[in-house]
Amino acid sequence: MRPLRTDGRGVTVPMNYALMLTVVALLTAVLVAGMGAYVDDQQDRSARAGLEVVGNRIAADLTTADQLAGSVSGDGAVEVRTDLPETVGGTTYRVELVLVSTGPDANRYDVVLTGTDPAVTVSVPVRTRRPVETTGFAGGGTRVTYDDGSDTLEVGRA
Amino acid sequence: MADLSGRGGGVGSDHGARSERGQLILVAAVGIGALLLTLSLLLNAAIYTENLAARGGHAEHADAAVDHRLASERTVGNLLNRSNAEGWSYTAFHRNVSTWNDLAARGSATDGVTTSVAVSGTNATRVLQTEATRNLTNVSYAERWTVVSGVSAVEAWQFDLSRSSLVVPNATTNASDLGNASAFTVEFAAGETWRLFVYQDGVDTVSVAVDDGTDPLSPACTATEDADGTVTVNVTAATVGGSDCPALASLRSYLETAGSYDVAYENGGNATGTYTLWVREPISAVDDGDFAADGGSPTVEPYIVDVSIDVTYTTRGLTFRDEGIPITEGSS
Repeated sequence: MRPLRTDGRGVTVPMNYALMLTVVALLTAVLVAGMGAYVDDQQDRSARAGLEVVGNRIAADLTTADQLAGSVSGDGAVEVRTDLPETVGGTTYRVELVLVSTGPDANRYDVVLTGTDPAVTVSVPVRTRRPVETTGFAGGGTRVTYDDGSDTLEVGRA
Repeated sequence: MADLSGRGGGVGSDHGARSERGQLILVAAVGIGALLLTLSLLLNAAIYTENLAARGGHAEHADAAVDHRLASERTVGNLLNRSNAEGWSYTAFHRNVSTWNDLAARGSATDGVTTSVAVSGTNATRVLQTEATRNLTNVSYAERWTVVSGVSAVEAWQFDLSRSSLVVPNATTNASDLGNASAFTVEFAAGETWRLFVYQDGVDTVSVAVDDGTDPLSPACTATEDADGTVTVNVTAATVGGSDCPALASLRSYLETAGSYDVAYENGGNATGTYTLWVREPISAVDDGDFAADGGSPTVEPYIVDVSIDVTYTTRGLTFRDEGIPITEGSS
């Protein structure tokens, strides 16, 4: 009996070729699928963590502007600008402000950041003495301004 | 398929199979490499965003901006206090505020911060006599003289007069009775002429009567002299000896609507004591030769009122501006 490694009988050249292709393709597919899932998962986590950071920065800017607005005694102006990335974890995102509750001493808002791909939503709570106005804006550098006439804050793109 | 190995060999040989396999392995390697590259880019982006969190926000500068505002308010308040107490010139006050602005700006510049303080105020004049034993004549001892003219308000006006220096009129029913007795008179010349008389009305009492042009005079306000023999007449607060005086209150009401008027002292030799008042007119408009130079009586001094400051504090990412912060004398 001939050893299998050297026994080429019954095996055509195309068959040998097809088998080889199948085995390599299978191995590659498994490897890529495994890595892809891992990369996707990392991207999701990265986007979420990044949006949380960005959300906290926006919340901090709102708090800072609110505190400074409280120090304005005459005619005044307050502007807080922060450079923020336009993409986080490989995704662009949108910033909205959702009013949670109003009160005599504080207004509670959620800074809601929504990534497009991966579709990740992060919410960061913030509390201000003054009402905050915004129409929502695409993520990136932000600017918080104070209107002393209406005693309100406004947040938008820088 | 092309032979990438370049080492030849037939299709059916071992050599040939390995080289064909190499192509797929290469493609797989490129794919996995691309995934790893994506992963590293993601990691890089994540590190960058995490770095944002580690960066200091604007809170520190916000505190510094508020500190700058408070410091400016306090400093200008102190300068105003000293300026008005010591009679600094208007220029000296503004120069000192400017010096503070320069110092604050220089101190902040090293931190990349721009600051500014601008002050505005009204150049007013304080008229005062501090010599308690002097009569209420002008510097040349003229009995009748115009203290201020063309003013719309006289503020913080108070006399501390010696009771014994005042005349004792025989009658006090009409303005002419007090005029004939040469009682110390303050005359207000607006559309009408109102007069304020101060005279003795008993052993240790002083009376203040107001003539609004009609006789008889409305009831006078009377006060007993203090331990030092003086009586305080506060025209602005409408009090005599610390008690409310309706006659002075009606005079005050008239003056509030009288528009522009002149204030003159008459029979200034028949009253001795001190007084102080200020008007919203620059010293150049008030000092018309009736007053003594520094240290004499009566005298005029620069007085600054209605002071407010505009403060700005600017960094690369933060702008704070507060305008029209009122600075009142004695507030700091």
